[in-house]
Amino acid sequence: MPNVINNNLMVPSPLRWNPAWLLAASLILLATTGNCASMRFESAGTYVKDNTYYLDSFARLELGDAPVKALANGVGLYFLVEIAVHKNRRWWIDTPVIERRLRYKLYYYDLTRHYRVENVQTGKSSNYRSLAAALRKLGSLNQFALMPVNKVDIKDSYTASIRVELDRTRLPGPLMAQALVSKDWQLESEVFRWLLN
Amino acid sequence: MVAELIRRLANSLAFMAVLFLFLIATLYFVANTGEHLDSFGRSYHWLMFGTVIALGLIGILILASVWRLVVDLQRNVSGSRLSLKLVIMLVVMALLPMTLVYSFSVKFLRSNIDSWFDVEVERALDDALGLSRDSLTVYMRTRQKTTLNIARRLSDTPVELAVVVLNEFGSDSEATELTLIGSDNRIIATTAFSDLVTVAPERPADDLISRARSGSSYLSIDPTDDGDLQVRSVVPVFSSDPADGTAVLYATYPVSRSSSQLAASVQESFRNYRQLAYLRAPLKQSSIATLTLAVFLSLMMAVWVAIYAARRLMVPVHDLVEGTRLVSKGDYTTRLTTSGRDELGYLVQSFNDMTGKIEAARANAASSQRQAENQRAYLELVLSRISTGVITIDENHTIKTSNASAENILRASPAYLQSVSIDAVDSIDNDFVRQFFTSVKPLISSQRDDWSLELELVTDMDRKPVMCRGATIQSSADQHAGHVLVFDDISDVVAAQRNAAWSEVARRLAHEIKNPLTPIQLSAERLQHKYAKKLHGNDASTLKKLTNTIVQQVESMKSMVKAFADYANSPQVDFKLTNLNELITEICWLYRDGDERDAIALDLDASIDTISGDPTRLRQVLHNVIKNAFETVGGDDVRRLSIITRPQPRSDMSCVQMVFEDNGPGFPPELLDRLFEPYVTSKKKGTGLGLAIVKKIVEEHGGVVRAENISIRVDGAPVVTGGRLSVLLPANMQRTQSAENSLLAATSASRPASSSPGSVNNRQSHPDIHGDAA
Repeated sequence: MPNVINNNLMVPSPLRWNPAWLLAASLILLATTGNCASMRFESAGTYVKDNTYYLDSFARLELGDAPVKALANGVGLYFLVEIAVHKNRRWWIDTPVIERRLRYKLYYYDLTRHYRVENVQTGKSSNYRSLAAALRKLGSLNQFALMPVNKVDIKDSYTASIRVELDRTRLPGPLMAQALVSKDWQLESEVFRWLLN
Repeated sequence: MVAELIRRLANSLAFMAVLFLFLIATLYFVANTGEHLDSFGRSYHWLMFGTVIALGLIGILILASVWRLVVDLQRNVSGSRLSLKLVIMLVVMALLPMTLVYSFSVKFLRSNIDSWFDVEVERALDDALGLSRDSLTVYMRTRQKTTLNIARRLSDTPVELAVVVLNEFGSDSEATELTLIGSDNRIIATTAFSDLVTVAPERPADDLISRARSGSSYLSIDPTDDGDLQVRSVVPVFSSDPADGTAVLYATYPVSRSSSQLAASVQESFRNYRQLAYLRAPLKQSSIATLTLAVFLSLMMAVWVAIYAARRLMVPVHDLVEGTRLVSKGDYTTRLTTSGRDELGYLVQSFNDMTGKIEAARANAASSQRQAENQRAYLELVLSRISTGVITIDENHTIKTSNASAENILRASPAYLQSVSIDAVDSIDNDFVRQFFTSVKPLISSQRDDWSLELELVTDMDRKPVMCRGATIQSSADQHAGHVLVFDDISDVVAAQRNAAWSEVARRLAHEIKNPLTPIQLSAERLQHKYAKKLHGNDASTLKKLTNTIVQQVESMKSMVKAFADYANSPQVDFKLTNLNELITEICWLYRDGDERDAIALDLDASIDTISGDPTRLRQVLHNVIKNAFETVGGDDVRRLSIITRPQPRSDMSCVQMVFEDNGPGFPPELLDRLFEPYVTSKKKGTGLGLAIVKKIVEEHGGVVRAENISIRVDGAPVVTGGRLSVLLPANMQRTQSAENSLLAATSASRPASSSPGSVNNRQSHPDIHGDAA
């Protein structure tokens, strides 16, 4: 008998308002997931293939408790990946050569117990059994066609940058007001920069 | 600057309306956030920022307005108390229902949001989802069995025939796609049964293939991009030949469209419900926050509107208070701007009308007062200019007013007159005043409405006939308000009467006496002529002496009668152009030749041209005056007479003045007033008609004559050094002139009855006290 509908996600059951539980949960949160909420690019780089710049990047995305809980309760989370290439100028501000924004939606599909990652712009989606897998997918870009080579001049120097953030403005209204002021929801990576080769 | 800006903004309806509208719009968006989850986007930040700014601004402006209200109250600015009361009242009026609505709204909000959630519904949704899952699981297992059957068939099938088997079984199995992956991970065979032709067969993830090779099948149902569900199955295909290794069969099966849609609907409902349940607390919070914001905004609007309305409402009230204050200070020019057509506007209009009417009334009163003042001044002027004395006496018998003529006639100052009480006439030390009021007191006390009295005021030096008329003054309510006494110095009238009498006497004398004189004289001369020769000795001399006496006395009587005739007769004055200076020189020449003692000094102004006059009559004037002067000096004293002529231009006519100054003893002061009356003389001989004739002739020429003493001060006491007679004649007098044009009329009209003591003019025509030179 194959392992069907293997659901790794623990759907959170409603917590009872018990101080002991609360204390325990707080301790666990502090110990385990207290500092988990982070977004960080571990690698990113470009390469040229067929006169096109391709981008490979990987970001480690870790959601905090509040977003995970919201996700489990049917709230879709939007992620915004901003990629830009700037021409470096010595005596002046850098000129943007290309600016791309990729939007993804992550949500939980109860019926099949999948996490789905949907590219908002293309409508393509993929299913994941676990949140971690979904976040890995969200954090990685493989062979992303960034721009044609002729967009850049070989003599100049260019800097590429990438960052990712949780788009709080796309949250449901009641949640947004809270998310805009809460640090739990303030999820964004620092800008990862590298020189375009 | 900033305070002024804040004040202006706080009072600007447009600015505050924009702010409030912005906040209301914000509120609307925030309130809609729960329904339209994606409607805000990134503008939410700015919206919140703008809201905070607007709220802060409104708060500052309202605080500034409240502060201003408090400051106005402390400064006791008019209308500030009423404004504060109005603001408090309006705010309380707004606050009470707002609080009530707010508290109930919060309560209903909470219970309403809670009422959305029902355990039964939640369970039903859970069950629906579970049912869907179970149904799908059954479907999946069925497909799994199919896949396993195909895998079993494939296990004994050579690789070359795998496609055939897949096609054969696949067409019966409703599979969308069947793919056989070999042990080397290469696709051995694939077949697609759906209408959609895929270019490249889909292959499962490597980990699923690995798991399948190790014997663990994989079965899942996944949502696809188009929203349908798809069953995916990965099973191992164990080959009968162990050398071939384990292949993997990957099969996908569609879930029917209707089932997919139903499942998706269940999923969506479940997700929505779950999300709603999860968002219940934030929804409550945000709803209550929105409601609170709305209430707070309403409160701010209420406060601001209250202040604004109070200010607007208080503007006319403030104006009215200020206007009333100004009116109370006497400024009736205040006009308020009419604020509208409401009751306050009507009040302001009424105030304006009232102040306008008061101002007009005041102007009228002032005008009337001015008119009364002018009339009073005019009356006073008239009273002061008329020769009639007027005195008013109040009901307490005290003199209230008196005019200059009264003071002049009674020879008392105004202050003195007003200090007089008629009830105590004996204590009055002024003779004239005492005599006057002693005479009129019984008539005043008799309260007769109208009476007249002729009396004579007498002092040691003077006597003055006065005609007095009196009347009681009745006030409007027939109250006795005093008396008015009108009296005239009738010396002129008496003098005129006397003159008339003298003229009559003279005329009769001339007529009655003159006629027998000639026969008497002739008879006496005849007596002498007839009997002188018949008589001898003493008889003859006696007769001669007697007849001479008769003749001389008759001559004397003739001359006297002639003088009377001259005085009485008014011969036709024959006006000719006469050179006065030549006339004077000619007359004086006669006297200079006659007597060496007569020293006549002439000071004649050569600029005097001819005057219009009768040279014969003027010659008589000169003779009379010169004779009178020389007769006055008398004795062995050196006679000196200065005759001066000067032009006297006047505004109405040109005049010539002749002044005669002698070094005699002057005129007796007691006779000065009657100097020009006939038979008034201080000399032992003469008819006393000389100066009376002078006066008469001068008046015939339209002139005036005036006599006074020349005095110098020796050791502080006046000493009379001579007499002065001034004759003023109009230069161009016509016989046909009207009386009004004569100098006499002009002089008497302008005479303020202020002739100084010791002087007299022709109006007081008294006989020459020096005697008659005629």
